[in-house]
Amino acid sequence: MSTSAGAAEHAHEHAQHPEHSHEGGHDAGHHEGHDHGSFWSTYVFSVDHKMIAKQYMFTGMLMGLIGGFFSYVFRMQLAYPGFHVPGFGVVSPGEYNALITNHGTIMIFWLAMPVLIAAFGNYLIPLMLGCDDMVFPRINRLSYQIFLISALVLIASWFVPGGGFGGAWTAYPPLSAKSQYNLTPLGSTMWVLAVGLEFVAFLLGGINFVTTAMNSRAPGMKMFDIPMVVWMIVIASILFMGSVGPLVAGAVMLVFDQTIGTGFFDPVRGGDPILWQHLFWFFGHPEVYVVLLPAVGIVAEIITVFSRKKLFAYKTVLYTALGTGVLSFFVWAHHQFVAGIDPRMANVFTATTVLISIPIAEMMFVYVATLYGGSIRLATPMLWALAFIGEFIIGGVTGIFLGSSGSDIYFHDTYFVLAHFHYTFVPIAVIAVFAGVTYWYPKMFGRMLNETLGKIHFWGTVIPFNGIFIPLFITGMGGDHRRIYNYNNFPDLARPDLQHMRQFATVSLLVLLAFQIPFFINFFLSMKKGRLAGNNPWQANTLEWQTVSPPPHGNFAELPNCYRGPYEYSAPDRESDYWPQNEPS
Amino acid sequence: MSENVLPFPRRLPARRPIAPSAVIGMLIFVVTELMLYAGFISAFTITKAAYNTWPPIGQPRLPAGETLVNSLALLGSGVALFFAGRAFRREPQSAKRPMLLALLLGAYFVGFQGVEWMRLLGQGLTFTSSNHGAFFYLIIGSHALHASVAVLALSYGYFRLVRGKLTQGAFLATQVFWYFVVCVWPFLYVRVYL
Amino acid sequence: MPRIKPLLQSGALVFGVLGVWLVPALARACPMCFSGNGTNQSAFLWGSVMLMLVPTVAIGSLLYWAYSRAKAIDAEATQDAARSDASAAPQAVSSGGSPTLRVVSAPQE
Repeated sequence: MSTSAGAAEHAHEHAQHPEHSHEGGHDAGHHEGHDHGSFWSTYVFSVDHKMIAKQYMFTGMLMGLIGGFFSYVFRMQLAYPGFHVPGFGVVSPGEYNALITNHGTIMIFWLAMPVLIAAFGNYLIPLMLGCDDMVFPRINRLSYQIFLISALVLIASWFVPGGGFGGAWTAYPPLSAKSQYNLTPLGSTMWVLAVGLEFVAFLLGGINFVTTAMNSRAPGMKMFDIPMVVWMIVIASILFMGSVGPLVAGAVMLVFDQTIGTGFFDPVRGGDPILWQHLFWFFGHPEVYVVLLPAVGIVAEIITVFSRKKLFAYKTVLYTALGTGVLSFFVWAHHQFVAGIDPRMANVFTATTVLISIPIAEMMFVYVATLYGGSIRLATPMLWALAFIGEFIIGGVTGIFLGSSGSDIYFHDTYFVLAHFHYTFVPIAVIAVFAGVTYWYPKMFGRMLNETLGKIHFWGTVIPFNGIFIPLFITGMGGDHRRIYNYNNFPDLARPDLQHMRQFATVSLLVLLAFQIPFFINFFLSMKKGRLAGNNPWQANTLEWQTVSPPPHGNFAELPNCYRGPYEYSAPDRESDYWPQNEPS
Repeated sequence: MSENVLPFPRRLPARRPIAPSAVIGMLIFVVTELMLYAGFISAFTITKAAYNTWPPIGQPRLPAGETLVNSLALLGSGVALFFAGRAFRREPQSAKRPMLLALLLGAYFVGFQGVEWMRLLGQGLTFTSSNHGAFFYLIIGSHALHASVAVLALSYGYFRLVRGKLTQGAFLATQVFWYFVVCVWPFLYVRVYL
Repeated sequence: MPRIKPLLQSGALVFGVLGVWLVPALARACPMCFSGNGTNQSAFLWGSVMLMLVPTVAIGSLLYWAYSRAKAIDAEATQDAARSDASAAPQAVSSGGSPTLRVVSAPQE
């Protein structure tokens, strides 16, 4: 423990960064260039976890906008085949494939992952644990840089000869492995490369999160005093790192199939295309929980703060999250029920898939129990959090039909599947992200968001969201197959009743996209003109609210001690209804 | 934000890390790597099961005998590093000799693998000749890549040790990675060579 | 024979479960079986079992190790806290203020 000398010299100087040492292996790159404030060192090559979090967040938001634009283009094509889409033009079949592929890839790997795990993880873990930065700040910076490169590679892949990859985000071979089938010799390889780089970025980030959470807890912060969202991000990172290996193995094999000409997935040469599905979904299903758990954690924070109640069952939520993590390694083959896997295996995976809904349901019950009897404030973050619970339950319940191998034979690859997973992913990657952004915005930028605009944005997002996907459940049950460019070529599916449903979904999407404008106005205007937030506008307990907003480099004037759990709201014999974790009793 | 004047920390509270950060980070990384090999082995098993004869007709057998000797070198280097660890805990400088032994044995393993590969290439086992060759170079090649990186890490660690600058955390992290490279090898050997 | 009934019941349960598990095997349609001898089937089965066990065992043991270490450290911290008379750190930043809050420098030791 060393104490470097010298106090803040003038108003612009932040607190000197205390060199409290995490024993051994500490990446001592904390404050290179920070206080000297050149543009590059502050905004581009920063090692400050908060700046890296913002970089992740803005990159993720930008990619999300691109993904949203893609969905607009292909929804227009589906509702009005052959229509000249404003801003894009007439969509060709190849372009349609590239659009849906990259929409899925972007929304999962370049929106949900970076914002939910990387941005919130980077921002919240050191602040909530009461430390000054990540354990490995330079690895953290490297993580973002690799992530940025991966995003650039993906974007570049749309402009190479042959166009972007169009083999769907699951990239099943032989379509993805052979350029004579997919007609995108460069695009498909660049797509795999981009996804691979992105995994490296999150691997580095995840190592950082877990190590920080283990080693940098504030003095006095016991394991069960850690805020739930930190636990969730840590568990999600561990899940990610436990599941990503087989997919990386598969991706390496796929790249060799594409470039060198090996035959790992080529049946003619003794390979096995189902092997790819096996490896892909081994990652692909835990990935769902990788993005779900942080969302659930964000919602836990918001629900307790805005209902002024203790989280109903802290340990239950934690253990169910761990249970979900374990079970999530046992469910992946439910994506392959019709791919020709052993029916006995299908039975086992049906059972595990239905089982995994129990811990998730338990979490939702805990949240409802937390709300019960609380003094609920319906501020914008709370609205988003409540919407998450409601909408996610629809997604979860429809999953039971798909997880049962019998009914999945009918529903497989229909729009029912699509509507189901959008009912899970949109609550995760959009609703929970907006919940988190509106909740922590005052901490991030020091000013409050406008509540009126926030509520307009909320209702304008949630209502059209249901308007998009409820019709798609119905068309899915009517037999609408996924990944079809133009339904007019299928007389059974080109019926006017189904086509009206598709048009209704598309119009809802347009409404939803239009209602994102108030959000961006609110977001950027409030940075300059919003009401000053103060340290703790929501009167929350967790440590990030006990420092100034926005926190300076080094986070805390004095690194806090922790005296109690994060959810001590409305303690009976106290004047104020909240009790910050760092307040001595 | 800019108006804030924050007090200088008066007293820094004690934080209790559960293990050196470098070790935790490396352990998590090793779990990821372990899963990578689980994926490779799973893929290899499934592909191999589709063949009636293995190695496929016209493909050479792998030199299981010579590689067994080579494996012993790798295992020996793991043992040497174990003793280096014990010595390091007692007195860092006394770890020099076992660490050098581990380094040399590891380097011997990597070098011998390289020689073996040249021979196999000469016998017509290439990356694209069949799935046999493809999986061999993929799995054993990725292990060789890890071993090479680990040898470089060990040499860097040895270099730091000689200069008296090797921290305990860095040493332990190197040890964890090298144990991983050593421990995963018998499984790969049994699965791929035999 | 008072004990035969529960025996029969549990036997029926076991066979029932086995039947439910095995009967669908008849519905198998293997798209990728070149050898035609079911090795592909068992390879997928064992590959899946391995992929399930390796991460649970590896992560489980890692977590268990971390958990026991953390528990020991928490206990240590509790002891230390009990020993020293609760030397509470002064609140540096009061909550609820504006971000332009000025905080007086704490005295340096």
